[in-house]
Order: sequence, then C-alpha cells, then structure tokens
Amino acid sequence: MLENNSTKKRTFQSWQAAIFITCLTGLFSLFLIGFLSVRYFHYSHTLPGQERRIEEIKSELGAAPGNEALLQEVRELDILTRSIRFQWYGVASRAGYLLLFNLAVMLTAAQWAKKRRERLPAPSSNKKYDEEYDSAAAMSRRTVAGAGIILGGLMAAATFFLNPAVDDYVIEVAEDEPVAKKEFPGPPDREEIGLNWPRFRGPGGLGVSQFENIPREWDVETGDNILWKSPVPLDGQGSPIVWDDKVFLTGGTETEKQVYCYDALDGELLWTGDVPELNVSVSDIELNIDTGFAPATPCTDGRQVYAIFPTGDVAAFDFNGDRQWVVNLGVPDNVYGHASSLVGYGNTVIIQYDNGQADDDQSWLIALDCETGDTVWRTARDVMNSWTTPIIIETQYGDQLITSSEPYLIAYNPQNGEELWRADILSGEIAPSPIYAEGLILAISPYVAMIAVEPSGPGEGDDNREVKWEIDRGIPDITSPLSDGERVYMLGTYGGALSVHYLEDGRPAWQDYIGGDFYASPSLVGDSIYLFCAEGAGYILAAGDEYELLGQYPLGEQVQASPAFAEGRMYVRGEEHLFCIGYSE
Amino acid sequence: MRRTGIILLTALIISLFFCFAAGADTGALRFPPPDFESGYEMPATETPPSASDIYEYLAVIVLAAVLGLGTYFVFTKRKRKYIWGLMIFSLAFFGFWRRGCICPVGATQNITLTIFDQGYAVPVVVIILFLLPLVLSLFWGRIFCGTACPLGAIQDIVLLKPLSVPYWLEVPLRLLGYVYLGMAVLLAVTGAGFIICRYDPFVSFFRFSGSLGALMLGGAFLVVGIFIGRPYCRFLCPYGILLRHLSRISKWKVKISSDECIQCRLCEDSCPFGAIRQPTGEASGEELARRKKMLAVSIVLLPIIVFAGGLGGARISSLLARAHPDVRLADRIYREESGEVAGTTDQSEAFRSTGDQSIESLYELSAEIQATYHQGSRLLGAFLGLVVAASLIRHTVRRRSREYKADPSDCLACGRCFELCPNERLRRQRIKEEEDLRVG
Repeated sequence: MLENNSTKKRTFQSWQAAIFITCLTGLFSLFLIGFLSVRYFHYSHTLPGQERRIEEIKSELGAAPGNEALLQEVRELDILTRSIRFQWYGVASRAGYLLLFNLAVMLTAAQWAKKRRERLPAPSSNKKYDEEYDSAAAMSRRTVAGAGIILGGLMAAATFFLNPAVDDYVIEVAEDEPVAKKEFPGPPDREEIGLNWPRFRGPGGLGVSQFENIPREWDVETGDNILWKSPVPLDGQGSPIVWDDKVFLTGGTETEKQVYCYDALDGELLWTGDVPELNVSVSDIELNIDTGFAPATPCTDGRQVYAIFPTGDVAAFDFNGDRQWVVNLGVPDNVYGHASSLVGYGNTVIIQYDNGQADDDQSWLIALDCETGDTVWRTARDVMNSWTTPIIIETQYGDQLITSSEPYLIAYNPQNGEELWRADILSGEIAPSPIYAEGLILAISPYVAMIAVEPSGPGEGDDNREVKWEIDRGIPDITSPLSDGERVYMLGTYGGALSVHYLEDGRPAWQDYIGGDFYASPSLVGDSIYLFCAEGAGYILAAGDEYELLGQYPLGEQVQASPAFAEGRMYVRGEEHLFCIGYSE
Repeated sequence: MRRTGIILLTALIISLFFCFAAGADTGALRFPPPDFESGYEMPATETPPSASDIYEYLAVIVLAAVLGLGTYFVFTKRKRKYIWGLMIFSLAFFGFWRRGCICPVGATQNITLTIFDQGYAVPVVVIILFLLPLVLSLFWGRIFCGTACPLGAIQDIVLLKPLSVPYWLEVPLRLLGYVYLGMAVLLAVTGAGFIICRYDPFVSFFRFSGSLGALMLGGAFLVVGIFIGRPYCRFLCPYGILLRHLSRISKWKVKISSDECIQCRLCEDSCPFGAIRQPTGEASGEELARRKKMLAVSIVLLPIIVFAGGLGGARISSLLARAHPDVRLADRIYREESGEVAGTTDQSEAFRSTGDQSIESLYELSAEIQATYHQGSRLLGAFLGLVVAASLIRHTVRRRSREYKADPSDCLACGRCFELCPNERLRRQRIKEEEDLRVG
C-alpha cells in the first residue's frame, strides 16, 4: 500500500498489532486443536474398550440371563459410555465454534497485516513484450499438447491397469460341472390339497371342513380346548391357512406388509416375512379403513406361501421365510381396496384383479408362475371392481375357474385363462364369493339375489344364460354362502340373519336371527355349522331343516376372518390373536 | 514475523482438518440404542420436516442482492475493500449459514439431470440459482466468483503469500476443470451421482463435519491456497468453466484502469489469479508466418484430436461405468458368482438378502447403463479433444493489445488490481475533491 512518512509510525503500529493478534489467536487455535485432539484420542481409546466389554457381557448374559452382577455391570458401563459420548459431542461442538471464531479473527488480522505491509512493486525498466508474449504462447502450446498426450496416455494406461466393469456377464461353467440348481418341486395333488386348508375357505373355497373332529365347545377363560393363543403382530382381515404343521397369516399397516408363519403345534411365530414396497404405496390407492391393510387371505401349495396386499404387491415365501419373489400388478383402482384372495392351481397362483368400472379395461385375471413370479397368462375382464375370490371346480368339461363380478359370472380355463362361458346375471358391489355344490354354482348379487347356475362347456351359453333357480330373500352382502349338500345357508352381515334354502330348487327351509354382526363366512364341520360374529363369539348350529343352536362360546376379541380347519383343530384369527381350538389330547 | 504468520497458518490448517476429521469420525459412528429390559418401546424414528421453502427463496434474493451490489462495487465504486466485505458476507451466509448448499456450482448437475431425465424434477429455486450468475456474466463477467461464491471466498481469505503460476503451466492446468465438468455431467446424466457435491472440498468446513478424505482434500486446497490464489476456482471449478466462456463475450468487462493505460506496470503482478494480460508488442514477420503455419496445422489436427478423444473415451467407458453403483454391484455379483472373488460385500449381501431383483435383471440393468456410458464416454473424450485442440488454436492466434488488460475469462472481479493503478487513484482523488467541493 502506498504510504508516506507522516503515517509511517501509525501504520507500523497497526500491522504490528495485527501480527500480534494473528499469533495470539493462532496459538489459541492451536491450543484448541491440541485440546480437541487429546480429548479425541482419549475418547477413541476409552470407548471402544468399554463397548467391547458391553458386547462381551451381553454374550455372557445370553448364557446366564439372571446374573445380577453382570446386569449391574452392563448397566453402569452403558451409562458411562453414553455419558462419555455425549460429553465428547458437547465439547467438540463448543470448541469447534470457538475455533471458527478464532480462525476468523486470525485470518482477518493476518490479511490486515499483509495489506498494511504491502509496498508498491518496482518493475524493471527493460521489458520486451513481444518476446515474452510469443514465448509464453509457444510454451503454452507445448504444455497443452503435452497435457493432451498425458490425458490420452492416462486413458490408455487406465484400460491396462484398472479393472473395467464386466460387460458381457457370461458365467463360464465347465460342462462336467453343471451348476447345481435348486429344483423347484412339483405342485401338490388333490389328495394333498384335501388334507390341508390351503386357501380362503379351504379346498375348493367352499367353507367345508374335511375334518369332523373339531371341538364344539371351548372356554377362553379356563383354557378348555384352547390349545394356544398367539399374538398377531399387525392387523389384518385375511383368514388363516394351514399346510401340515404351519399356519400362515398376513398383516399390514400403512407402511408395512407382512406374512406370518406359526407353528401349528405350539403357536410359536416361526418367522415374519416382510414384503417391500415396490412402485405403489398405500397413499397411491383408495383404501377403506374397514378393509384394512391386509384383507386378502394368502394361499399355499405346500412349497411356498403366496400373499397379496391392497397395493397390488404379490409376494412368495418359502416355508423357511425366505422371500422368493415379489411383483406388483399395477396400481389398483378399487373403491374399498383390493381384497380378493389368491388361488393356487398347478404351478400358478391366480389373482382376480378387478378394478375400476366394467368398461375401464382395468380388470384382469392373472396367473403368476409359482417359482418365479413371472406372468404365465393374463386375461382381460370387462367387469367392475369386486372383492370375491374365485373358485376352481371340477366339471365334466374339465376344471373351470369361476369368478363373480358385476355384471358377469364368468368361467375360465385355469390352465390358460381362456374364457369358457359367461352369464350376465350379477349386479352390485360383490363381496360374497361363489360356491359350488351338487353341480350348481351359487353366486350372489348383494341384497338382491342368489342365483344357481349349472356350469357348461366351452362356448356354450351366452350372456342371457338361463338360471336354474334364483332367490331374493336373506341375501348377504359380505359373507359367502355355505352348503351341506342339501341346503344352502346365507348369513347376513347385520343382526345375524341366517337364511336357509333347499339346494335342489331354492325354496326356503327356514330363517332365524342369531344376533350380532358377521363378516366371517360360515363353515361346515360334519353336521354342524360354525359361525363367528364380529363381537367375538363362536356359534355352533346343527345343519338341518330347523334352527338348533348347539352352543355359543365367546372368544374374547373381535373376529372378522373365516376360520381354518386341520386334523382335530380349528384356527381362528381374532383382532389381536390367532387362536388354536382343539382337543388337548 | 510475516513468515511466522504463514507457517502458523499452514500448521493450523493442517491441524484443523485432522481435528475436524476426528469430529467427523465420531459423527459417522452409529450410536446404538439402549437395550431395555422393561418392555419400553423405542419411539419410532422421526424424520424432521424439510426446511421451509422460504429459506430457498431467501437464498435467491440474497444472491441477487449480492450480485447486484458486487456489480456496483466492481464497476462503479471500484474498491477492493467493498468487494472483500461482500465476499466475507457471502462466505458467512452461503457457506456457514446455508452450509454450502444448494449452490450454483453443484446445481450444474441438477440441471443436467433434469434435462436428460424426465422423471427428475428440479425446483425453480435451483434453476434460478444456476442461471442468475450465468446471465449476469453475459453482461458483467465473473462477478459471482469474486463476491458471491463461498468456495472462492474461503480460498481468498487464506491467500497470504501469492505466488505467480507461469502462464504455460496455468493453461494446461485449466484443462482439469473441463475433465471435471465432463465427468460431472456424464455421471449426473447416468444417475451415478453428483460428484461436484460429493467431492466439494470445502463443504466439510462449512458443516463442521465430513469424511477424513473430504477434510484432507479441503485442507490441502487451503494450504495450497495460501500461496496459489484460489486453486479450486482456477483449475477445477466446473461452474467456473461455464462462467469463463460466457464472460469472454460479456458486454461490460472489468478494466484495470479507469482511464487509458499508461503502462506503468504496477498492476503487472497484482493479480494472484493470473488474469492480467500484458501488452503483446509487435510481432515480427517471421513470427507471424510461423503462427499462420501452426494455425493451419492446428485446424487440420482439430478433427483428428476430437476423433482420437472420442475413441479414447469409448475405450475407457467400461472403466467410467464403474462409477455407477448398479454397475459396481453387478460387477461384484458377477465376480462372486463366477468364483473370481471370495466372500461378499455389504452391497452384494444386501442385494442377495432383499431379493427385490434377480441377478439376471441386475446384469441387464448394468448392461443398459454401460451402453449409456459407452455413448457418454465417447462424447466426453471428443469434448476433451475439442478443448485441447481449441486451446492449441487459441494460443496460435496472436492477439494484439497495447495495454494491460484483465482477461474477462479469467478475471474473478476481486478488485485487487484497481488499488495499484495510478489512474484509479487519480479518479478517486477527483471524486473526493468533487465531493469536498460539494460539501464546501
């Protein structure tokens, strides 16, 4: 800076003071840094040892859980470790800000001193601009060219000395050493399926137990015939399913989707399978609060368990709880939320994925490969969104998959999704699933009608198919019907109106009111009908030509799911627990 | 005494990043929750809401105000102390208060990604932050660098003993900035990440936290910055590249002298950023002839260099593709599957355990990304070839100048050169006298 003699004394003093402040703040900053370093090294040498010791104690506690001395030691160490950590964080934060302030002062003072000590430059007199300019330009050209060559050289060297990413992804396997691929077992046969409860309402989706040795009474207070009761982690309306010694359930919240596997013998929760969110979240869909986050019942084929959630995510888990695949079927457009349950058939899992209105082109029948989750076939459906679960029936024309949604009852070939026939007979928001009894398909239009239709062969019949019979009294809106082979039972949601009609011609047999609200569909065990009301009580009625209540047994919590049956046991999902009702011996 | 100060500062900066490194190290540790035995339910982790948009708009307003004031200080007031004060404010506001984010430098990547990825939406604020300094540079040059950029400011305040970098060295070093810009664009386009932000050398200081590597990088820049003026700005800053080229055509350019240059040469070494160009003198006929010949050769070489660059870029595409996490994961999985490597990494372990994606689909994804890299790397190589060739041509063409000038592409509008110009001093004296007269 330009200075003159008159100010020389003042400027001398100011830069000297600035240097002094620079040194002072610099030394103080060094002190702070030293202090922080010492504390850091103290911390980094003390804490790891303590944390290791905590881990050791935790391991020791695993072997001796009740060791009070160890518990005391781990508590004290835990508190000590945490206090040291937080103390360090506090010190580091305060000292950091102090350091910043010091450095700011130091740099300001240093710049001030520098400015005050600047002198005017004294350039030399002989300057040859042209030579300097030309030589700088020439030199620059050479260095730029050199830099370009170095850049090219580095590129070339990089390809030789660094590993490029693999881009062909060919795994070379010696021919004599084939890769051992885990073989996916074949699907179960009908006999195996018949021994289990693999889907909503059991084999065939009829709600008929193949086991007759199911208790007709129980007592949750005394525990009589309650073999076990296990908590269910997350809510869900889906029903339990059973395969051999495993019971499966689903549960969910706004952010979680889970599949549970319980040990059928003792109710131990063996594993919980998490289903990740793919490209659809709960916020993307319509979902009625009564529908919940896990309304559909899973299905199993003894190899894997398959589950679907209202987001359209379908997942498969093996029986060890390892997730095998998860796919999303696309954003569902369902006013109450997707609730149709899954159905297994051969090596496929079939999903009735009805969305939007009939002419929205959003409804599909989809079959996924059990092993991979890949779509095997996909058939468009001109129906509106529904909540029914399809059934697969054996007919003289072969297996037929029956779906009911407004406005059609449609039969498909379950092997390839080809439509076989349809009947324009349904209306309303259909939740009750169809059943098949004594050669008749019984489908429901909520509050309006139950319609009996005989299946036919491919191409037979049309939209105006003639119905076998139709009744319009006591028609439920949620629960599915039940048949004992002679009669058909329909259970109303509110008040428990049980309407019974003869299967042969649909004429009424009797009707009575049980009381309570019913969301769980009725089940048949031998010559008894099992009903579970939403308030949390089971009713046992005699199947027959007149109303006969055999017993009423509270469960202690609300029930909305249909029960599952196994040899000597019945599994009921309550609001909070999964109950196993069976004989103790 | 002055040497002592510099040594002290150097020691401090070196210690400082080790010190911050310690802090950063502790910050990186996972703090385990206590093991309760009493049935206490751990509260769900809560994500704090994002900062209010008002701060983002405030940043835009402050940036506009700083740029406006900076332009006024550089072009009208022409006083270093005002510019310096504004720079310190920007360091405090954009650096320590805003924690260095989001800044126009890093926004380059957001803008790039939003151009190439329709699914990536960039907030209007980011677009404004990115464009404002660029548009301004079309009129007044690199005002942003001298007054508003916190990255430049932190380097500027440690510059105590500036050493001159020879022009022949400065020119090739600037190529690094083009490489960095090209890489940043390529990686942003392919979704591999924002390297400008990831390797921002000073953001760790602004946030009092960072990895050891980041702190060492920042510390190294600051130590070098004591002697070399703003090394990051001059040799690496990708946004600086954009500003440099736009400033070249700016309507108004920063002038050292407010009047005609008298070639006193006092300003000759005043610029610590090597932006002052000397008068060129008169070239000899022999020199002009040589330059013409070289120019012809350079023009012929241009397409060859660009083509060679493209070839070279394509050759290293597989290497560059490893910057993408999905490609790295596929690579690792492949090597694990083929038995080339033993064991697993956290990433491969996570991939296998989630099962969200099959190995085959991961390979397919990786192959797709690599195809993009193949094209991108080729373009990057060609771009770098073009930069080298253009630089050769530029230094072949002989410009003519009879006075000392601030090169608008390199001038960071810091105002240091004003203080040494006798014409400027006369101007200030005249202004002072006029003011005195008015007051009198």
